[in-house]
Amino acid sequence: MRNRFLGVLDHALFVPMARHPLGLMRIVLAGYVLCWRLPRDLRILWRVRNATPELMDPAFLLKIIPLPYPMGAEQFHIFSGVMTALGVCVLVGLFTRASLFFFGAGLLYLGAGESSWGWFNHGNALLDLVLFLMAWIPGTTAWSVDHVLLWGWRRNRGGPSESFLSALKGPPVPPWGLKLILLLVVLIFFAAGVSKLRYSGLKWADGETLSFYLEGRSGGNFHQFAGPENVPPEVAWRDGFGLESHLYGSPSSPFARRLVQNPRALKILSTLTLLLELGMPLALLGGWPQTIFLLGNIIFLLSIQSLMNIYFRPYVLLSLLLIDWRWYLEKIRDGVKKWRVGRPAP
Amino acid sequence: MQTVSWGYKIYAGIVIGLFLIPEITAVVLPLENWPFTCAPMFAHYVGEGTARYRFRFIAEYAKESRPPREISINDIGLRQIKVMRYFFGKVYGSIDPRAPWGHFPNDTQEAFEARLSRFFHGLTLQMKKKKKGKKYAKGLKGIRLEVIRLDIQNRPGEVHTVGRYSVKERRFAHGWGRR
Repeated sequence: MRNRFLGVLDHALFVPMARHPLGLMRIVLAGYVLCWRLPRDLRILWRVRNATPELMDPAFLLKIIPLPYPMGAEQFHIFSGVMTALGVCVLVGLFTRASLFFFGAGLLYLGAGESSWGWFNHGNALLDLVLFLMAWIPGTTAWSVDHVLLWGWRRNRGGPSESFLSALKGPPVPPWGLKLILLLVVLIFFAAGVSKLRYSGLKWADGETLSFYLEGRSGGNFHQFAGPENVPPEVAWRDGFGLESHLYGSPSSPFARRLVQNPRALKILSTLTLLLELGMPLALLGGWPQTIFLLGNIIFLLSIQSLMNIYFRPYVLLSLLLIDWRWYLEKIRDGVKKWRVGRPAP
Repeated sequence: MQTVSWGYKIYAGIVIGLFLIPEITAVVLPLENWPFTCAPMFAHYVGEGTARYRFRFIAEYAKESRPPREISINDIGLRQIKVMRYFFGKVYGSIDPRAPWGHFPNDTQEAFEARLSRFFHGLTLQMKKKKKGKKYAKGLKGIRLEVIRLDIQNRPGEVHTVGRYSVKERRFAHGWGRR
């Protein structure tokens, strides 16, 4: 039994795969970071350079990454230039692994800095983790300048002839890295479901919480906190109330405010959210479950975007990249073929 | 079928462990420490019966002619939402031992006062760095911390004064419950 399990694990993690999205994932994520994430985070780093350190608590990563935080103006300009150059290197695949390592570490530094001031950017957390992880896993140098240079060098030395395209794609690689990225995505979504059960129980599915946020009642000019109605005095010694959690601000859209009028729809949406998050581990089975859950994930994230104006772009990108589109299209093509064969002749 | 060496498998195991173990720990404990998270967004139940609150920092002045006024965090060059989350998670503390953003087990009044003293000292320093913030800092005697209960329309209800920070003494004195 044990040997059989190890055999299955060995097969799932180490049998090389020729087709994988890791090169494309590197290019897309680096492009996103260069166009969107990096300019935003650098602006924040610039703004906090003179802020009072008593108003922050350095995150653990800031203590181990050997860079000062906040940075002085000169250090900031050097850091910005280096990060932009590293981002371009990751995008085109030049010194790919080293670039991924330092670029990922730089992004982790920026995210850790922002979280030290009280803002944990959940979308960026997964993105940074995945980009840093890509420095350590096989397959991420596919579609890179490194491969082109290596191909040219081998050709000049009269090495084995390989087509330019197959050199660009790179050799088949063990899939454990890709599976680890999928596992991290799954784990984060599963954690969101577990958190809802932990703090609210199944009551979360009654639609009330969703209604509160969709109505935009957590927005406004001040940040809101919540607590239970009755708190023992020994717990509420700070203020006599007993504050338990902070609420998330969400500027709702006009469509969201219309949706709030329909409690049944809110119940269904809340239940589907819980089912999707808690069912995410099924995506690890691959095939249809993986496709269905990742597609569900994308629809869920785009719904959040349209209803609550909260953008989880890195999650959407990762989910899109983790769907095996070729497998999915083949299945559809096969289905259409079978349907045509089974159809009675006119 | 191509096979991979044991050394390579051990390397893969180490990488998988290094990335997975902290994330699983964050989910189980639960906690948030960048970039690992238990994803607590929107997880707390909010219904009609949920008590909701806000903090208010009130600047108090030595001159009686100058009335107390609420400090707008945005005026001192910081974002209100970030400062309030930091204040609640890392300074004030949640009553829930499972709160991922900050709970101080075995917290004492002295430790609470020390954390708030540091925070409000930082706030007074930050005020002086911005033109708009200087209007609060001039003649500032202290800062009063209030927690306000909100009604269903987000209007202020019952107000509890938690304590006062003295600029001169650089010390926050917890006042709630002291008669």
